This record gives sequence, structure tokens and C-alpha cells, in this order.
Amino acid sequence: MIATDNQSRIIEVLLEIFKAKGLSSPALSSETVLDQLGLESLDFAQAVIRMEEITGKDPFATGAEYQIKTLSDLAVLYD
Amino acid sequence: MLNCLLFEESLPDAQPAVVTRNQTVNWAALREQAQRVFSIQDALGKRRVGLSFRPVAESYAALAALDRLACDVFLLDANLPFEVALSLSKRLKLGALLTTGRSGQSSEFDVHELSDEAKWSGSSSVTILTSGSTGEPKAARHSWESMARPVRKGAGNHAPKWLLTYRPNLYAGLQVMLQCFADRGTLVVPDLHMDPQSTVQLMYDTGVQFVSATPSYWRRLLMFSDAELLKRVPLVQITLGGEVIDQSILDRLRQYFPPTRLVHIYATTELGRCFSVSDGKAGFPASYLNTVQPGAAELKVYEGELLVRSPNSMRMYDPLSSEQSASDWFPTGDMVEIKDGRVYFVGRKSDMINVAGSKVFPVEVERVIRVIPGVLDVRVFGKTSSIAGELVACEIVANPDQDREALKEVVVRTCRAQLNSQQQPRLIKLVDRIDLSSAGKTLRTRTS
Repeated sequence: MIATDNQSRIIEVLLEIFKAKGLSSPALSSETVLDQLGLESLDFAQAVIRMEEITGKDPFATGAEYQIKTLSDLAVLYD
Repeated sequence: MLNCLLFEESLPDAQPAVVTRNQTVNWAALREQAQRVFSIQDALGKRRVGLSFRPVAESYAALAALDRLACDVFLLDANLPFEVALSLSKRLKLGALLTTGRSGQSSEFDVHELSDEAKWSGSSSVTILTSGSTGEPKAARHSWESMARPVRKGAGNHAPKWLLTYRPNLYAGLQVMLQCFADRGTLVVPDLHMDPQSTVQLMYDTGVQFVSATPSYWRRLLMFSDAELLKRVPLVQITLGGEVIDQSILDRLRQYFPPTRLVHIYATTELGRCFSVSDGKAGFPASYLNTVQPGAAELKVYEGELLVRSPNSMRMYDPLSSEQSASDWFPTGDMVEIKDGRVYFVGRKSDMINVAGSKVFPVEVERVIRVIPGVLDVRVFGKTSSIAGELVACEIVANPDQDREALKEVVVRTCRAQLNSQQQPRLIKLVDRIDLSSAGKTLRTRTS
């Protein structure tokens, strides 16, 4: 399956975060389950700000709750 | 107070009083200007008067004249657009606003009479309008007596040359002027936004001996000027204040100027000068806390914040501004921690970044980043996060011959090793320069 633009962007942002944490990057795809990556909530907060810088959107700003399991669940919020 | 200093007969007439890059005004000329304003503007006596204030002889002369006329003087930043100054004057219910001629060179003042003037306080006073971090300025009124109390006259300094690094209309700038004039010295005034190299050249050319400045101001001079020229400035005393003073800036200044006396001072617009430290170490002795000494400020720590009761404090917030009068113990907004008998400043309460419920002080993070080779300057602030409340963000000025990406990686690695997860900057930007506020402090405005 070919990744969508937003999936690719999230993968890039997450790889950046793994690198900054000094961790080796796992293989990431649209099917990756986010809470199994071993990231803390601040890493996630950082990813959301980076995505906002890239896309101009923050789907969490409204306080809405989402069911997010996989990387693609997160990516669709930016579509 | 100021009128006593400028109207005296026995002034060192031929000596320079105020020096800028393009102009030198001697004491005789300064007195003459003050006398002229005093005689022309006598209709302003015993009234509430705004003075658009620039660091030039004309402004100091006018201030002395208004003091002699027993006015309640309100000092306005001369960089405010006229309309803003006028509407501020109306809100403060002033009777008149004095501005310098439009060219900025004329020694004659334009007087703008205003209606609806509030009552005169009953004696000569000076009110400082602090910008505050946001919105409406606060109007802190001092008697000239409380303003002048920290001034130590004579102390063996014959005609000292002082560099004015602070805004002339704020507390620190007024203190420097009063100390300098009390010793019949020379006030050396760099242009607003003068570059560091030109400032150091001016310091060298005029032979500046006393400098009172923020650590940020010094870091800029140390970074961007010719070190050899700077070391040749005949400094007798360096006074630091206005921001957290860390050991690294004290050590660097000691290294540059071995015989110079290094003092750091704690003062605020509202409280005036509270105490000073001259042992070359950051922070202050814990023995200063919870003691009462005549004429000295009392200090205590409550919930991590420094509280002060000071004899040099302002008389009140002007009743027409939005704030209430100062209570006995004044919360300074400065957070401290006590370690090994020493009290250290960790930052402003208002600068505190709340990362998912943890408190992070920008200074703690800046301290770690600032010592990384290749980092010239750094500013840490909170960035709003929809997930964590705030995250730590930073801007870094890199040495020009530094590989920027490599530096970023070193910063990330160093912060990871020395700071906990909440303190680590999550957003790192390399910028060309970091601006200082009008008070010479690093700005920590939040961004969203």
C-alpha cells in the first residue's frame, strides 16, 4: 500500500523524534500501532506541534477526542 | 533631589555632564538649560505633568526643573508615538504633556495642555510607567527621597564616567543618572540600538569607568565586539542587575576585567534597590533572609517566591492607574531555591513553563544550552500545546562558522543528558538574533 501524504509526513516527524531521543528507529507504516512505539506523551505532543507547523492544522486544538490506534488513524485527522 | 544636583552654584562647569556620540554638554550648559525650563514653564508648578523622556541633556534639565517646580512628573518613553503618549496622559489625568520639538534636536519643549487634571499629590514626585509584560502600563510613584536613597555620594569616586545602558525613563536608568550626577560625573549615552562594536568604541573613547547593565547586555558586548578593545576600557566597577545572574557571566567578566569590582544588585521598579552582592558569586547569602536591619530591605521566601519589604519602595501605584497600592510584603514574582546557605534565582514566576503539570524555568534550560560550544545566544520560552499545555521551545543564535544541523544535534544530545524529559526543548530553531526588551532583558514572550 502506498502511504498518503499525511502518513509520510507523520512518519518523517516520528523518525525525527526517535533520532532526537537517541533511539534506533523502528519500521513505520500506516499499520503501525502508535502506543506500542514506546513514545511518551510529550513526544506525541511534540509530533502534533511539528505536524501543525507542516500542515497548518491542529486537530486536537478543539479538545475533541479521537479513537486513534494506528498511524493511519492519526493521519486522516490531517486530511 | 535632582533639582539640588543641577541648580547648585558649585558645579564643575567645564566638565562634560552628558555625552553622546555626536554631542557633549557640560555642567554649565546643563544648569543653564534647567534654569531656562524652570523660568519658562513656571505655570506648570504643583501640577501633574507628563514628560516625554529621552537620554539627552534637555530631558534631564527639564526633569530637574519640574522637580524644582514641585510637579508630579510622569516619565513617558520618548519612542511612543505622540498619539499614544497623549491618550496615556489623558488616562492618567495629567494636566500637561511636555514633548521635545519634532526634530528631536531642539531644546525647547512643546507643552500640550490637557483638561480634566487630577489632584496634585502635595509634593514633588516622579512616576515611572512600566510596560508590564502585557497591556496597560503600571504607574509606580516614587518620592525623590526614596529614589535617591540608594545613591552613595562621594565614595571616593571623583567625577566618574558612567555608561547608560538602561532606558532613561525606567528605575534602573534613573538610578544610574542620579548616582552619576551626585558624584558630578559624566553620563555616557550610547544611541538606542547601537551595535556592540560601536558601543565598545564609545566606551573606550570616553573612558567609561562604571557600567550598570543586564547580563544579556553584557553577553552581547562580549560576543560581538573586539575583545582586545573591550579589555582596554578602564572599568572600575561593573554592576549587574535586572535578570538572573548566573555564575558563567560573573566568571567571564572576572576573566575580562580582573581588577574591576563586580557587583550584582537586586532592585525592582516598585521596591527600589533591595540589596547587592559583591563576592563574585551567583545568588546571595541565605543570611540575608528573615533579618531586620535599619534602612535595609527585609526578605523572606514564601512558596518558593522572594517577598520583600523595602524602605526604598514606591509610595503607591498612582491611584488613577489600574493597580492597587502596594501592600506591606511585596511578592516579587522571582522564584528562588536555597542550596548550601545560598539563595539562587531560578526565574520569573510569569516565565514559568507548565509542561503537562511540571514547572520548568527557562533559565534552567538556557544555562545548559548557553555553555555549548558554537552557541552564541539562546532564549527559552513556552509554546502552547494542545496535548501537554505547553512544551519547551528555544531559539539559538549559532556561531556563523558553525554547521547548523550538527549544532542542533549537539544541543539535543546535551539537553537529553542533563535535563529531564519535561525540561528538554522540543522545538529548536536557529535564528540570526535574539531581541532584548526595552529594559535590556531577554524576551520570553510565549507563542501559540
